[in-house]
Amino acid sequence: MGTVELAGLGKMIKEGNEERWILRGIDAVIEKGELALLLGPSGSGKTSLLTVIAGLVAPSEGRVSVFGRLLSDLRDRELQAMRARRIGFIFQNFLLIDSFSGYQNAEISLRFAGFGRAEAERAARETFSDLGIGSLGPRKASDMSHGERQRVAVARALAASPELILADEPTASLESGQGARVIETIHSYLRGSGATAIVSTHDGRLVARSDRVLELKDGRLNHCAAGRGA
Amino acid sequence: MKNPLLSNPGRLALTIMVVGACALLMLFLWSVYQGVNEGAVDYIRRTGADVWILQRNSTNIIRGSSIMSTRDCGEIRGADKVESASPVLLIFASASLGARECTLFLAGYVPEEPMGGPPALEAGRAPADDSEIVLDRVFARKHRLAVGQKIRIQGADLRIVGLSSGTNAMVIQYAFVTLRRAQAFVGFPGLISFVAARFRSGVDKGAAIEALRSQRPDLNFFSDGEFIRNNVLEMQSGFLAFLFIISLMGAGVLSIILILLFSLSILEKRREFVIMKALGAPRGFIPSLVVAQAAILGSAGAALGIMLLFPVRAIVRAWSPELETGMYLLQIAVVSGAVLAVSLISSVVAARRLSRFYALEAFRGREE
Repeated sequence: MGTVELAGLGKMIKEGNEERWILRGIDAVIEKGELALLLGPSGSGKTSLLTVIAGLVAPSEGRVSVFGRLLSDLRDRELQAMRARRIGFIFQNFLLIDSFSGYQNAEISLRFAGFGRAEAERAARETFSDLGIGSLGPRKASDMSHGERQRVAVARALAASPELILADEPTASLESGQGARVIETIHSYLRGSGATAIVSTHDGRLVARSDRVLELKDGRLNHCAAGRGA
Repeated sequence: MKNPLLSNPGRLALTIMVVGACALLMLFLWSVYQGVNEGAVDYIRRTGADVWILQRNSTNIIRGSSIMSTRDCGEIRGADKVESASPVLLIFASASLGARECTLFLAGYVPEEPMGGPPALEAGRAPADDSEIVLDRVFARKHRLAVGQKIRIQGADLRIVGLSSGTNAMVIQYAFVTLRRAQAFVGFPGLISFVAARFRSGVDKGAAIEALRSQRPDLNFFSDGEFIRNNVLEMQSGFLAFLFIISLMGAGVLSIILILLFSLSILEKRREFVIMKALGAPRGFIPSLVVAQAAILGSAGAALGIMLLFPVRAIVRAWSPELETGMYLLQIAVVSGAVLAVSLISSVVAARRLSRFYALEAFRGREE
């Protein structure tokens, strides 16, 4: 059983009086421990697919199973708990809380995951230390550079030791070196924890580090294959 | 956990000042109300009568006229169980102060009688003859009058021989002259307004009042407590509604301002709340930040209002001495509670906006 299973998945949206399928006929299984890349140009449906897997959007047709459970069977509260405790998010523009320090950005995520105050503080510090970014912990997010924000965002996603990481274009606004470092950080986390990651990107160079590649075009799965890292 | 809604010190200070100003308004109005209540009946309370006797259908001296005769007082004085009975004639009198005219509540009394005169003298002495007057100290301070000076009242020059305290009813102040002088002003020598009487010691006051009632059914008899209540109610019927409406308007304005400020700060933090939702914030977590913000602002604002009340009262007293104010812990507690409640209710109204923030927005790159 895969960590994420998609069967006949489709999502239709309404634009004015017109209906448009932004995802259609997607079948895929992402196994535990895999780093799966969602490849495709802008507008191909990568982000939409991530939001469906995160349970933020219900599919119009088909089934989505995460950790062996059908998302359609879960209530809102269960979906929220699943996102908080078992999934780590890295957003396209990192989306840190500007008025918080680096540590506090990670701590809030840990508190949502059920950690106590002291436990969250300790776990945040450990994560920053493990990732070699301890100096960013006490600094206010609004005072950080682009690259620093990105590293804090990764630390926040990994702090609660999630079983699944959903990363939306995490390298899009970074230089190639910084982007490679993000993927390397995720990769090493997966190796150590056995967790799964789904990373949307339009950067084909990342294929080399992936275990599986899902290529989307116009909302359809154009190609699904083992990555070169498999 | 740090509350992002409290991260803007300027906004925080502004909101606390707004809440503080509204708390101050409510506290001040209530203290004025309290001061009026107390000042209006201080004369009655301090006179120390067991029974107050007025014309039938008259229940108070604040907004009611009672016309009696000195003969009535003589009859009451002669009644069994009555130790003393002091006649008083209360009239509104115009005082000429240069080009200005001021109105006084002139009490004509018999200086030799134990009641009816100024309840306490801050300076000087009681009037000894018809050419003398005792003024309320607040009236004297306001018009820069002192013992030894003269004041012209209804065409007669009277020498100020004393200043009384406990005789300021805010809208008007008492002054004291001899009964004869007051009767001369109205032109009816035998006229009085009411009689303040005391019973002999050991007498059952209730039974004594009943006995007087049966003796003079054409007059109204009130125990001291009843008479104070009647006058307070009369004062309240005019002032309470007025002050209550202003207080309600203050609370309403505060609610609107707070709803706007809370809504604004929620909208400003939309991005951060969306991130929290996407990260899996429990359902009540973000609304609890808004409510916590309101609780902090409401408490700090109420505290600021309380702190400002004392200097404001002092300034107002210096500017307008007749405006007496009173303040008790209960009032402070009630106003603080009301301000806190208004803040919390406003935050709950503003927090309804949060339901229109969606975690999905985090994936749409709304920022940077």
